[in-house]
Amino acid sequence: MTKTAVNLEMGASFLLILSLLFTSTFCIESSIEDDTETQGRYLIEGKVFPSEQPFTPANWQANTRLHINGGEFLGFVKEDGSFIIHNVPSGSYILEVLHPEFSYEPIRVEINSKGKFRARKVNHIQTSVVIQVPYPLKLKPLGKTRYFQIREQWRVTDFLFNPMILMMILPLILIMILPKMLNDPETKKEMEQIGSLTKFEMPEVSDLVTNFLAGTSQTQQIKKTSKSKKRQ
Amino acid sequence: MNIKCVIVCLLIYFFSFIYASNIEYDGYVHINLRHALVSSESPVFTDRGNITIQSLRTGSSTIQQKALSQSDKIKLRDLSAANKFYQLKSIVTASDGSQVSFVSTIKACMLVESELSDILSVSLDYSGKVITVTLAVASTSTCEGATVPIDKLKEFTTSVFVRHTENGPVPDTATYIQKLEREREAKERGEVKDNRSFLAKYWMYIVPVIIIMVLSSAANPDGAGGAAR
Amino acid sequence: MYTLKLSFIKYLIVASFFNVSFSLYEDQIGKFDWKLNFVGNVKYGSIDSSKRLIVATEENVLASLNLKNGQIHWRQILETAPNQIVLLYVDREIITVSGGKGTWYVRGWDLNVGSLLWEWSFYMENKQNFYWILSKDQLVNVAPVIGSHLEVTQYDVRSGRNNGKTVKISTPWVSDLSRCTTAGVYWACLSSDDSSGQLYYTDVLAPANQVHMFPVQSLIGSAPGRVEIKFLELSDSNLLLIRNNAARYIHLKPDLPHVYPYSLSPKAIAVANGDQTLLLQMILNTTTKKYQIQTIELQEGTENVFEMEYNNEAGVASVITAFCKGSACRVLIKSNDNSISLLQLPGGKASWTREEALSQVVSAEFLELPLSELDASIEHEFDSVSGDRFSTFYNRIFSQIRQLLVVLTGKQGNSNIGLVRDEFGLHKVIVVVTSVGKIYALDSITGSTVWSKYLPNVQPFLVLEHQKAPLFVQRSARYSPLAAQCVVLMKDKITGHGVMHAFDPITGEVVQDLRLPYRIEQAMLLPIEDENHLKGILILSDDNEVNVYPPSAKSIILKHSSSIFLYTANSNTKTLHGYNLHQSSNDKLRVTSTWDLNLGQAELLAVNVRPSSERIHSQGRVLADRSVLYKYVNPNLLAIATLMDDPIHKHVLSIYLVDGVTGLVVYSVAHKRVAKPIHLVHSENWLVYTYYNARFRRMEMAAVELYEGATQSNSTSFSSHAVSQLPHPETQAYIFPGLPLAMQSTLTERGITNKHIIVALSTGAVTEVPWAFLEPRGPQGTMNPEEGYIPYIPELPIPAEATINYNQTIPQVRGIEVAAARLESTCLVLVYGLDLFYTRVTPSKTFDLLKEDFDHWLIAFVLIGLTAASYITKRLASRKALKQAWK
Repeated sequence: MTKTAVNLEMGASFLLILSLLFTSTFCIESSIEDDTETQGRYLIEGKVFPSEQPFTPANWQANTRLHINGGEFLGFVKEDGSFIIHNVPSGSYILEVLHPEFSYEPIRVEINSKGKFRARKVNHIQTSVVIQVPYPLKLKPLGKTRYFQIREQWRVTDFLFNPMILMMILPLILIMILPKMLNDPETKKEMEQIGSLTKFEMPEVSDLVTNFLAGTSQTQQIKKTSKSKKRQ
Repeated sequence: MNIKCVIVCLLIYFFSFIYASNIEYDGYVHINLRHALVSSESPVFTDRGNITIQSLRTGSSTIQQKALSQSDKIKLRDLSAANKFYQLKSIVTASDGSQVSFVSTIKACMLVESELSDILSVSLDYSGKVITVTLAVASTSTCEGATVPIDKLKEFTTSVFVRHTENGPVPDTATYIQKLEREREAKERGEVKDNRSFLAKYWMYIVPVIIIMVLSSAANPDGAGGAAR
Repeated sequence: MYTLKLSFIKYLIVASFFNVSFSLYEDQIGKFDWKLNFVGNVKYGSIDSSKRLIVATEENVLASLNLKNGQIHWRQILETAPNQIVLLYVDREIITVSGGKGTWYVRGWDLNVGSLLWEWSFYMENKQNFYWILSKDQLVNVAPVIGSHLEVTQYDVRSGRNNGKTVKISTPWVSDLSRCTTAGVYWACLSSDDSSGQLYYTDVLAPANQVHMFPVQSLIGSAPGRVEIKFLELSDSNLLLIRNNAARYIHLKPDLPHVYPYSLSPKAIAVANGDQTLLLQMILNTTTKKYQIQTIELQEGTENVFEMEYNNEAGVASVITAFCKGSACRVLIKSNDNSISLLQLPGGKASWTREEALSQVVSAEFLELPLSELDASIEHEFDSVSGDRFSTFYNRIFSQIRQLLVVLTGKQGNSNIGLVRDEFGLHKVIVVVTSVGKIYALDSITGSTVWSKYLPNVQPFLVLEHQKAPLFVQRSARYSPLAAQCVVLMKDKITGHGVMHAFDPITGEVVQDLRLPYRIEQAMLLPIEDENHLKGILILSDDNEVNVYPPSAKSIILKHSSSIFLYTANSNTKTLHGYNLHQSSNDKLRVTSTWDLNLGQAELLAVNVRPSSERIHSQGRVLADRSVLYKYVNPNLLAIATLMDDPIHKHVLSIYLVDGVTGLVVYSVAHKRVAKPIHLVHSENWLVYTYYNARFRRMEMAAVELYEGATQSNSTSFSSHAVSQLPHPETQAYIFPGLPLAMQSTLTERGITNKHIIVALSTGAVTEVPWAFLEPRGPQGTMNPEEGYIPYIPELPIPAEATINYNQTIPQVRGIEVAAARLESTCLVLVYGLDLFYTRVTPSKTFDLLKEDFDHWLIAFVLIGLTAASYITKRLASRKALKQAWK
């Protein structure tokens, strides 16, 4: 409950910042210049979570590393997933969790000269936008890293719903199977009923189509007569 | 001749293209030009003239160059005939009194063929310090082998270009954010237009209608009889 | 919600692009790629049981190796240089102390899996020399102050609790730290470096801090020669006093040191064997040229000598560690070529050898393989100039019979089986030069070593803070009877003079090995071949003299002297100079200066030229209005990156594009408030560079493209002298959400294929960024989105699918080497750092190859089926027609 409330509040303040941004982008952005002071040395703490049980790789702690500013400072993960990055002077850093199989979202950690910590989402495009995340950090994987394309597999449905196949099969059904079905006297009656219904609803279009079909049947008849002539 | 004029014009255009002067402090620069008319391992440089660039920001300059003496003309012609290099040494004195010298080399024949009209490019770094002085001749090819009468090799007509360092590009985030903002607003207002064609949009309604029509027509006895046979 | 949407759009575009563009299928793992894993130059080692060997290296790698086969069991990479591992201790857990620049990390690691158990760290501002002692769960930091005292601080090794103690021990006798060492809990020093001095030592942990003093003479007698002090590895409170390459074993005790009477080599080590202590040393038998291991039991003095079946041209550098159980010993030795081997005693066999030099590659080159003997013989048919009809007929018949024989027997009568050119030029030999001076030739298909050669006492050049060893291909394997030839240039470790090694890259055969009498300033491969198809090498010495290899190429140089230009970049004087060749009176080639570039106080970061083998397919870019924008393609263009300290903007990055012949600055650009790392890629008519934007705290990538405009100035041949128009630059910058360690652009045979930029990231991923993403859109591009441009996104995506090394992370990448295959679509890539990774990339997909999952069987089946069906239906139809006719 409390969490959602905070989020909502953040959303509101965030919108405010945005509207400011468009009027005076430059002022805000130029005011966030870094002042690296080397007096204090601080610890960045947090906990890395593996992916959920069935997918938790064995010995994931040994294969997980934390990089600050691309390896300027390192963190290693203990048995329980917790980590401490030592001797970090005040400043602004990007913390990345590296695991060959799982991807994690990078976090920007800011330590001011008084030793106050702030962790927020990394946004390179709007550097002044702050979406805070809780500190000490809790890092959960976004999911398994997808390095590979999935190979297309041959499936019957793919084949059948191919437009070319549909184009071939539909006329086949119309020409070959439907007339045979219609030879059955019961369906004939049914169809007549339906036909009369449709006739009633929109007579002109169905007329057109029947004329068209009749036309084809006429040509067939003509062909047959010509064939029979040849036979003679 | 005409082509050359065009080239020079083009060059001037392109040189001045990079004119967006962004150096913070203006200054003047004095350049002493010395040239070597005999190709050798350790060339001997003789005085050619002086150039003062009053303002590095605007690039305005005054040029004083001596006419070539008869012996120098012959030397230059010989250098050109031997397809050797003409060397220029520029001793640059900046406004703070520091002195640096730069060597620049061009093909003597090109200088001769252009009848001593050359271009001096003074390149500055971002702070307005001279990093190099380069001599060039505007031409589309190297040497055409044209013979130039020796009395045309008299006076240098030099154009001086001060070339600044541009400010680097920055990722254009502002327009991107604006674009996204606009798209978001458009979506909120529901102004998303569907540009698909009529058929593409409504095919799922059209196809059953056609099928039903076909079926009904097939049910028609005379039509069906023809098809069945 | 806003950002969510933003990222959604971004990934939508990306997904739609990348899905059609590249990435592997899962079943292609290891099909085109291989990876060799290394640990680096081993510094400390410890054999923990009969199964495991724990090593710590100069590259700050802690690894566990399988004692049986030397394979890496697990590996942890600690903070990179200048940090260093200074202590390795293996017991039930592994304890490391690493650090530098005042920051020290103490960590405990799990033996079995290599995960972190505990760690603590501390920061010490004063940058002194530190000595570390680990004694009974106490980590002792000894900081000597010369001529005054020692500062001894004790920590609990697991928690880092400083037991409130920083003790100062007065030691006015500490004069030179090279003559001091720690030995167990003792701090020991020699007062002078000859036999007349005194040996001082004190127990740094003892409450009284009593200082003991003994004259060296009384310990090892007096003899002329330099005396050195050395802590005996793997032992407690023991020292070696070395004089004239002979060492004495001294055991320090609170009252009187005990001197053992054995004469040892300075590289001897002590090994615990049950309750006993065993001294172990490696000796080279000068008569038999074979290595021996000598063991001495410390108390009883029984000596044993074992002959070793171990051979290494480089020579053994040191014995790192050993593990003995009864009479059986495992000894880990390191050779001068940084390879480590495990020797077995008493058998004397080498169980395995790891070529760790391959983790220190400084330059690499892909080389074409020669034709197979059969193909070559067919080529030779046309070599014979005599147009004798009968002999050509005979040749033809003969080679065809041979061809037939090969087809029938399936074997080639070839000396170098396997190392022959394949149809698509995918099989190559990769020659790599390592910083220790060992040259390897690797088979590009398997990654196995074809041959290797060790050059003693050499080191690479330091060019702009990068180690480089120029490797030139003088002649490729294309000219069949003539063998391919390569030259590598390095410098002598002692004199700094040049070393030139010419060799056949396919067989490793040495053509010439020269120690040059001068320092090398610059070297270049001539673009002109001599009558033997050999390209000469031009070496500029430090006294501006030009030397040519082979000397016969000099005549060619003289012929083309007016068109050969050189440049040198001096990072000390921050100047670049252009040179032209000049024949001096005494028949020597000299250089004369043609241009100068003075960068002032700026730090020179990179000088980059386009790859000479690159071909450009398209001369221009077609715009939306069907006009052509011609590319500015200058083969002599140098790209220079400098970083200047500035009082206002902190650091300013300047990029200059300079014509290498005339010195004309074609284009220059400056970025303010940026920082390292800076990387450059220069290809075709464009340049891509990355830098850290300190103002917005993000990495940025900028692209510059040069165009001549609507007309092409010198279309037939390019000359730097003819300046008709300066190129018109188009630039664009992007945010790059990663930290690049190395960048390179892909290279293909004819340059038709799209270009990708291969970027090695700090995360261990090597990713591809298509040039189409980076290409500056210019005014035309933004106006006409239909022109085929990808819409501009300020933040470049780094999708996981673009990772060419998938889950095989490559740490500490130093460089990427690319080469074109003969297949236009394919580019071969070698990434080198701590590991070696080879793969092939296809920036435009394999458009010139059938898909590998192409179903030949299905096609054949369908075809046969169709033919059969048509035949059958034909028969059926004719029968039907017959029947109908009878009706």
